[in-house]
Amino acid sequence: MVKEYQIIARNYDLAGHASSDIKRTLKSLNLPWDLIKRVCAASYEAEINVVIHSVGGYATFDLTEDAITLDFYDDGPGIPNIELAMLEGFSTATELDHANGFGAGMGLPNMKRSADLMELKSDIYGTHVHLVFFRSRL
Amino acid sequence: MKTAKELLTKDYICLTNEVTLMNAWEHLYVTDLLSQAIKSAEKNSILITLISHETTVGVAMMLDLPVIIITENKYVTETMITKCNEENICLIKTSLKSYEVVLDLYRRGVYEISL
Repeated sequence: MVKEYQIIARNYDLAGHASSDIKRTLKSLNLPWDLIKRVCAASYEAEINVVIHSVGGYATFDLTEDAITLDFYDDGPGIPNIELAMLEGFSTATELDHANGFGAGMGLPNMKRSADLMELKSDIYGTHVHLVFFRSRL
Repeated sequence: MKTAKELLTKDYICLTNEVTLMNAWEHLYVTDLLSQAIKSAEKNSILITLISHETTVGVAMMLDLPVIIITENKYVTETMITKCNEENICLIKTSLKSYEVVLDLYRRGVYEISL
């Protein structure tokens, strides 16, 4: 099963729509709650990151017998220092992001903690976050 | 598990449909950082927060949090109430501060803390 979602920059009203749909899909399949929670936690963080930090992008969801794979792509401006961005507490978010409860610098660390595999590529043209969750690991 | 109905006194206003007062809960989680909730909130927790926004509902929905308590009388939009009703999340508003809610629930015996 493959799904694709558009993510609009700076639109907090629509933020989370992709993750909500992913959760509904996983729940409808009666997958274990712990697995659903890990996928949804990472998905929501990644989606919010695209909303907050990029000019917009999209996400793909791929469900196979062995794994759930999420990919988040945006069109820039990229992460200047990935090492710093992976540190819990480091953030370049704005006051608006803070007012909406985000921008605490926990997005990427939360994704890494939740996923079994995480790959992050970024340059000025965009960022790609690749997250894999193995269905055998509960 | 206790229900959202047991939380209510004159200090708390339920903004969502009456049916949401039957939502069962086990734990409390207090934060104004939604990512911290994503990291640490347990399933079936009440989320006590100042962050009155649709993103709060999104996080509650993601984590299976059955009740949100918005503190210090923060303005709640109709969109947020509608979203909570759609997701069957009980949305409660209070003039109390976040820590006062925890103290109040503890003092009334609604929530027991073993330290």
